[in-house]
Amino acid sequence: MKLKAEHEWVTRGYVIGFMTNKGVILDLDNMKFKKARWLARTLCKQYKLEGYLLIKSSEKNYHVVFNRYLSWRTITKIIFRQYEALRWAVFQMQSGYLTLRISMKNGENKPKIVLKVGKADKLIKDYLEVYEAFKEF
Amino acid sequence: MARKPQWIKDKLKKLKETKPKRRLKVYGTRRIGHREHWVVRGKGTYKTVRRDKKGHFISVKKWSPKQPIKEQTFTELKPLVIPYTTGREALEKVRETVREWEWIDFEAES
Repeated sequence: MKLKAEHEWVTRGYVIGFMTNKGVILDLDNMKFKKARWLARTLCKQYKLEGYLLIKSSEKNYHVVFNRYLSWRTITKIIFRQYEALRWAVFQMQSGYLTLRISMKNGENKPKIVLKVGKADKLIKDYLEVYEAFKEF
Repeated sequence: MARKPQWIKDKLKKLKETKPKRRLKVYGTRRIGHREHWVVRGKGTYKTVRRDKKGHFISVKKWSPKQPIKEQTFTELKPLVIPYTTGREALEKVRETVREWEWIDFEAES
């Protein structure tokens, strides 16, 4: 049984990423749908993040975008409390922005929206605008 | 706690205003150098001179700016950051930037 999904490098062409430093987004790797949903729901309640968008980036890998705009200080606090996304968070902090992939990687695995809960008028709106624009990529 | 001086406040305010709020990142391996142009003035050639600690001459080597020193210097991994305001504008900008560069395919070792 394969426990951990191996990291896949960008070996063909290019990848487009959505960058933000205004709100919380998470990259949840090696996780089942139920756990990803539970994590998104808990964070949304705990920090009053107004709503969330759950995206399936590939098999057992999910992305979460929360609606509320926050300061960089609060974002770092929230992200570093999540053990599941710690490694990703460290790399993101180095650049000063959080990034999620919105296009295909090596010609496959286009992120798909799985679940939309709560309000979607702030960061989720920004994300969806770009997501819709880059549907073909 | 000491207050921030006015000139720092102004600078921060200006930075906030000028910084675009929405950004996209394009990443992958791309070839650089195709749009760099070297201009060699006159007929003189560039030479690198090797000297020892005391400054005595050891050897001289011809160096041409038209050719790269190493092949590695011509690949770039840094992501391209594209500011935008609307989705449509982002699409146009990304298409333009992607076309500008030559993207390299390779086999990952690990």
